[in-house]
Amino acid sequence: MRRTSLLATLVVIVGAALAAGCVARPEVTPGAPPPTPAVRAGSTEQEGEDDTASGLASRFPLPASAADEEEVEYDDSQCIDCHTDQQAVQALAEEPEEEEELSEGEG
Amino acid sequence: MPPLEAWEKVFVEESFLASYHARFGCIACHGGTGGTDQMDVAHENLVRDPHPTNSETCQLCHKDISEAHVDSLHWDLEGYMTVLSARSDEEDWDQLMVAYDNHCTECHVSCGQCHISRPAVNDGGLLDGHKPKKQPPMNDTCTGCHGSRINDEYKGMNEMEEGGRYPADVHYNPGGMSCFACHTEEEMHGTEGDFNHRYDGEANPSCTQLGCHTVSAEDDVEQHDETHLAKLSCQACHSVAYKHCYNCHVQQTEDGRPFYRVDPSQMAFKIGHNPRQSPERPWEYVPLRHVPVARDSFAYYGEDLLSNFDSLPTWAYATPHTIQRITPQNSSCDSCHGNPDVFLTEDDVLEDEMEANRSVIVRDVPALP
Repeated sequence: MRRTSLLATLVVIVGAALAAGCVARPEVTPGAPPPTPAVRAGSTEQEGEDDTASGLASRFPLPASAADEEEVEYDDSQCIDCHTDQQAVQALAEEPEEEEELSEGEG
Repeated sequence: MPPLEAWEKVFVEESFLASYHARFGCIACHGGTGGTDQMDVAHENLVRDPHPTNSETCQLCHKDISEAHVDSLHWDLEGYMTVLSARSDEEDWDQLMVAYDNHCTECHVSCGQCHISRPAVNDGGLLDGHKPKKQPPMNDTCTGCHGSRINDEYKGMNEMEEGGRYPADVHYNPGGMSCFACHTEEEMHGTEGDFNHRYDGEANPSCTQLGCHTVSAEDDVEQHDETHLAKLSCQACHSVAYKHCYNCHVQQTEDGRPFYRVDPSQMAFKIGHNPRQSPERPWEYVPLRHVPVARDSFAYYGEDLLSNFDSLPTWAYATPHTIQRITPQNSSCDSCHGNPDVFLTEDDVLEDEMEANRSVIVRDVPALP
C-alpha cells in the first residue's frame, strides 16, 4: 500500500513536470543584435570612430526609413497651367510702364 | 538685343516640363504660393531669380559651381570694390556704398541670368521657354551687359569719323567664334580661384592658353623676336582702335531713380606703360583704355569721395576685342617706332588726370634701334 502510494506520487510528479513543459513558456524579448558596420565595396579604409550623424549614417548599410523623412509636396499645378498657356499669359502679363530714359551716354 | 514682350518673358514651353530640371516643380525654386488660381496670391513671396547658394535650387546638384560662383567677379563684383577702395578713403566708404548699391548691384549675375533668362539688367525674360541653356546664347546674355565696348568692338559695329566701320575682330569675322571659345566655363563660374580684379591671376584667356596660337622667336613672323615678345602684349601689336569713355557721373531723381551721365565715347588706339606689370603680365607696353571714372563721379553722394583718385591710372590695362593680323601700328617698323600717335603721351591726358596717369604715360616714344 505504501509502495503503491509512493509510485502514484512519483507518477503525478513526473506527469506534472511533463505537462509543465507543454504550457506557454515565459515571454522572453531577445536583445537586438548590435549593428554590423557596413563594409563599402572597394574600400580598404578602416572606419574611424566617427559618432557624428553623417559618420553614423555612412556606416549604416540601409537608408533611413522613408517615413522618417519630411516630405513636402507643393501644389504647383496652377503655376504650370497658367505659364504654359500662351493665351493666359498674353492676357495677364502687363507691360511695364514706359519710364523716361534719364541716363545719357553709353553704359 | 530685340526686346521681349511681357508675356514672352514668362511663357514656359511645355517641353520644359519633360526635362530633368522641371522635376523639382515651380515652387521648390521660385517660392510663391501653391494651390491657388489667384495670380496675386500665387505670386506672394515669389523669387524670380533663385540665389546660387540656395541649397534647394542650383546648389542641390551643381554644388561646386554654385559655391565657387558666389566668389566670382560676375557675382561679387569684387572688381568694382577693388578700384573703388583704391581710389577712396575708408571714412568715405559708407557713402560710396550707397552709390554702389544704387548704381552697380544690378550687374550681379546669378546662375539663371545666363542659363535660363536674360540678365536682370536687360529686364530679364526666359531664353528658351525656361529650358536651361548649358552654353548661354552670347547675344542674349554676354553682350547684353558687355555691349557698348566688347560687343561693338568684337562685331565691328563702331563707326569711323571718316565713314565706314572699324573691322570686326578676326575671331568673330571670319572666325565665327563665340565668347565661350576663349572664355571658359571655369573662368565664368569662378572655379579657377577667388580674384579681386579681372586682371588678377593668370593671364587667361590668352592667345596661347588653349593651344590656338604658338608664338615664339622661332616662328615665321619677323617681329616675333625676343625683344618684341618680351616687351609687348599681343594686343599692343594686334588690336586696332577701341572705345574710351570719360566723365561718368551718377545721381538719383528725387524719387530715388538712379541714372548716370557720361560724355560721348571716343575711338582710339593707345599704347602705354603696363599698369599691372607682374610675372603673369610681364610686358612693358600694353594697350590702355580710358575708363569712365572722373574725380567727381560720385559728387552727388558726397564731397570728394574719391579722395585717392590719383592712386590708380584712369588709362587702364586693356585687352581690346579688336584683333587683326595686320594693324596700323604693325604694318611697318616706323608705323610704331617714333610714332607718338600710337602711344599715350601727355598730350592725350587731361590736366586733372596727369598725376593719376604719370606711371603709364610714355615720355620717350621708342625710336628705331
